[in-house]
Amino acid sequence: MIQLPFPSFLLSFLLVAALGSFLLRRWERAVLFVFGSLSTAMGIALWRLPLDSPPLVAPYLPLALDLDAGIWEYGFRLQLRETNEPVVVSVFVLLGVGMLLATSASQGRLFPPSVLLAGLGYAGLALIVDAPMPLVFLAPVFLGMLITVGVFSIQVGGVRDSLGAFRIILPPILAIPFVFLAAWNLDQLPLNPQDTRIAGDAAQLLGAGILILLAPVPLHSVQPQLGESSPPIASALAILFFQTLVLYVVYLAATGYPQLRESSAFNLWLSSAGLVTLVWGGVAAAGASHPGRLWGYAMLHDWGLILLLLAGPDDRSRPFIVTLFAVRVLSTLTAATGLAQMRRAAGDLELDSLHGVGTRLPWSTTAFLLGSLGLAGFPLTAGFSAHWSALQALAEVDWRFAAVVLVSSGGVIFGFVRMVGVFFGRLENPRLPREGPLGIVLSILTIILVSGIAIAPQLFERPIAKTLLALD
Amino acid sequence: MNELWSSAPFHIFLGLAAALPIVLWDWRFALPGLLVAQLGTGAIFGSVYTLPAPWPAVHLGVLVFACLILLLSVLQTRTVQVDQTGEFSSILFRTLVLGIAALLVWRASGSVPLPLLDDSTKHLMIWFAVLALVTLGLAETALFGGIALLLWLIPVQSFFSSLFPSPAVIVPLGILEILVALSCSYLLLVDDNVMWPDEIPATDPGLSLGAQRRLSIAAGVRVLWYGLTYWVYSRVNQRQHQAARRGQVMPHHD
Repeated sequence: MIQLPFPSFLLSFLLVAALGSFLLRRWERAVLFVFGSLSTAMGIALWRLPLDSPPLVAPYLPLALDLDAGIWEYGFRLQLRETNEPVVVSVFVLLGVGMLLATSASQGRLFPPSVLLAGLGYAGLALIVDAPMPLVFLAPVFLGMLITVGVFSIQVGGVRDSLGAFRIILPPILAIPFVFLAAWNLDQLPLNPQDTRIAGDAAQLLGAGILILLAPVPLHSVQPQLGESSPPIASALAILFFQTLVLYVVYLAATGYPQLRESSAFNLWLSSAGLVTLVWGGVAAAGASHPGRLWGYAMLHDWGLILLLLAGPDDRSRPFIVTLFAVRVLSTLTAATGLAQMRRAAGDLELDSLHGVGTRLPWSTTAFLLGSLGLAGFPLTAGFSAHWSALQALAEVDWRFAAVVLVSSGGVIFGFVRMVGVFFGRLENPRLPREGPLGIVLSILTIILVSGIAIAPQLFERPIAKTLLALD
Repeated sequence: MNELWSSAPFHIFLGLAAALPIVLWDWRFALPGLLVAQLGTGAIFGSVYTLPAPWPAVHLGVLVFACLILLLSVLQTRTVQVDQTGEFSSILFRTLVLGIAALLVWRASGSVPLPLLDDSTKHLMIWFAVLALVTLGLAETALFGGIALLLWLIPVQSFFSSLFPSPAVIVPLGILEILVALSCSYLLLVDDNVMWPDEIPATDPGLSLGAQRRLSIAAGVRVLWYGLTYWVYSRVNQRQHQAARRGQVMPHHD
């Protein structure tokens, strides 16, 4: 009986899937469906299985899968543990759901292999539990590598504007020197335990590196730029993969290096950056005249709120952050599904070609609007309860924060109200095709999901409670 | 030799070699400029800061490879729109910006905590980083964006290889450099429309990429066939004419 460590199985599966989807790229939809379903199923199974369960024996094969076993290569240990399990599961579910949603609107023939390759990298990074240098300090280099691979999945859909894809590479690469300098300072700490300056410098450098990784304003342009020019599902996946792992790195840094949280400068930078980001997201959304760009600004506004909460004390802010991010994933993918259908039907996302699109693609337009409004916490959308709780928590600290969030959310909502007028106005392009059956099915499914979460937010309670338990 | 590598004039030469391509904004200067910067940085860290022997050569090899990847894309682009910068950019503007940046580096470098480096080397490393940021600010194409990122990674790689001389740091940084070059060269091709068919006839906008490629191959074969048959026809025709002329002339003579 061959004992296969779980990381080997997981990464081999993704590698074989990437290779297989490249060889079978002519059957794009079938490939997306098969590998998307497999990835989603694997993510759900992984979530349900306890880590200490006995090895899973494959039927008819001399193979046993050990969930608890790890692999050790070149000084890196990859293993599934309680702390990284939610991240690995998120990567798999995101990958699977993203691929399934892309079956209705092609993101490019080479999208499946490139996104599977990116997923392989992100899952591998999340699985690292031990490295020659702590993962927090190596993470920007690895994230930089993964995001450069992610560029291919964004651009394979026939996008001629490469600026958005280029800008997504910048934050991890710019963050590298700051975190390495912090690592060196922390290495010096045991040699000079009396020198408090070293600890302070390390905390500030690590804080600066993490702040750059989080890409607040002015490093924010990738979200609106990708929203405007790139295939929506591919861009959503690239952004969400990256942000999932960045939040994991922030968690590792906050738990591994308490001096970071004790540094008042870091908390100040984080709250200021979060505030500026969410305000800019709201202001720019109010004036945006491109639905993709508007979606990008809504994402930016939501991200600003997460950054603002990150500045709070860990034990109090973590439940809000986890909930907000889970809802963000759901809302972003819902909006991306609708936007992808609209892009496919109209050929582009210029506002001139989308006048009256709601009369021809009602389900897709609704999915786009519901998903995007969820990012602003609009009532009766998936994001409402999470935003409302976050607002209450902020108001307890300082009511002015809550007021700023509320006003800038109003900016995002105003932008979408303008868009509703265009989408459901007079149809100006009579040759605009109607949505296909698969597009209708996927849009309805996502609408049901976000509406379900909006009506019964307690549906999210169990997975969020399990994630919080794992991170504690 | 150590004195030469650690001397201020050598550092000034390296700083100018890295700055000149940005002033001129031409890839023909930028790629060699990157190589000179890497070569010089490798020499400094290899000799003065005793970075173990294979690593400076590895760094240079990686950068040569990255530059070749970028060069390949530059040579494949048809319109070679690689000399565009921002709307307000000109040689004068860039020189002014770099002048201000040089002043700032000179005044503010002292407060930047780069351990183990002497002042001159510290100035040089910060100068490279500032040059990279200025280039990123001005770049509107993936080529100069890629050049800026490589310029950012040159001091990062050399400096941190000497601080942490471990393959776990050096190898991922090298891989990152190559991946940056790969993705930027891909984006350069995407930007330049090389990968997209722009010769689709206006009467048939729905022509797919595959059909376009097949048609262009078929069109090429057809042109060759027409050329060949025309050549054969003209040769045959010429002979017939000559024969006819001779035939016409011969009876006339008879």
